Amino acid sequence: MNTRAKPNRHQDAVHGDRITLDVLDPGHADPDYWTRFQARVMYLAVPELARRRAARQPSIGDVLASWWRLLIPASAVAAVAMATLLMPVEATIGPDIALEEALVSGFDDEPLPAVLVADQVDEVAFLVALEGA
Amino acid sequence: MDDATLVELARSGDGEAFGQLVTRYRRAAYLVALSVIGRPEDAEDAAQEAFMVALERLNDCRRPSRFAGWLMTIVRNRSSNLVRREALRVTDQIPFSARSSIPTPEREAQLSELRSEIAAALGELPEVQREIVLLHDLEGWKHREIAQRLKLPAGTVRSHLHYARKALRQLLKKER
Repeated sequence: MNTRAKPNRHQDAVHGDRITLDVLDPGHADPDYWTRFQARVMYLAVPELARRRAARQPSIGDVLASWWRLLIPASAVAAVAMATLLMPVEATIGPDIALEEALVSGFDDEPLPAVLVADQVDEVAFLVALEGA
Repeated sequence: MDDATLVELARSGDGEAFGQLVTRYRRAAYLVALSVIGRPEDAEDAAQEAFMVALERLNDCRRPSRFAGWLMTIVRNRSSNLVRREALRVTDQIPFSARSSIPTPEREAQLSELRSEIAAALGELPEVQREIVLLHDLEGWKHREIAQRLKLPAGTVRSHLHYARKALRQLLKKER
């Protein structure tokens, strides 16, 4: 009985150059084997996976840091926005300023008071002042 | 999804990603454990333990794209530890082919006997050849993948595979 079975088994195992090792796979005889294996591993993995998920939750420090990271760009954007709003206001000031103010604006030196006062025109003083400048 | 992505997700506690890694490498892990230990029940335990160790040490996996090789190193180490522990615990070596016998129909009985014969033949091979022939012929890994895993040249892997198959054929013929 055994002598009949063994050649069959040998044929099962050897195919040309290859040896068929399927019988060593537990899933070969038990189709649910790998499902159970997987379920067991995943069951054992639950605490470690939960620990890893918890470790990913942000701490108070992380939250503050994220606010701080937001605060700086937000301030920069606000500054640019304010500057943009104020610039046209400065341009409209032009026509309303007095002539005297327009003449002296942009000059760092002291204006020539004698020149600017119409009723005190003194040519000598004017020339002296010019020479001095 | 590639291994590197799955490892990154599993690092943040994504169970589905870890589950995919287990599905992908459970058979290979089992076979590597079997090639070291030789006993199916213990190989199962070692493979499961190895997955747990891998999950706990996932941050130490420096090259997530090579997760498989890293995992197999853990499997091999766990299996070797188990063999050492067993060697200390029991004096009688349990043969490679040892397996619980459950009453089965005739075909299952034949397969069971074949399983024992192949397992016994595998037990005669050097450990490295056992691992190579199992990963290649049963798990379908390529020479290159096995070479990476075992840190051997691909040519050496081919050579081991050739000698392992030859030895297995001779051993199985002897059984007749």
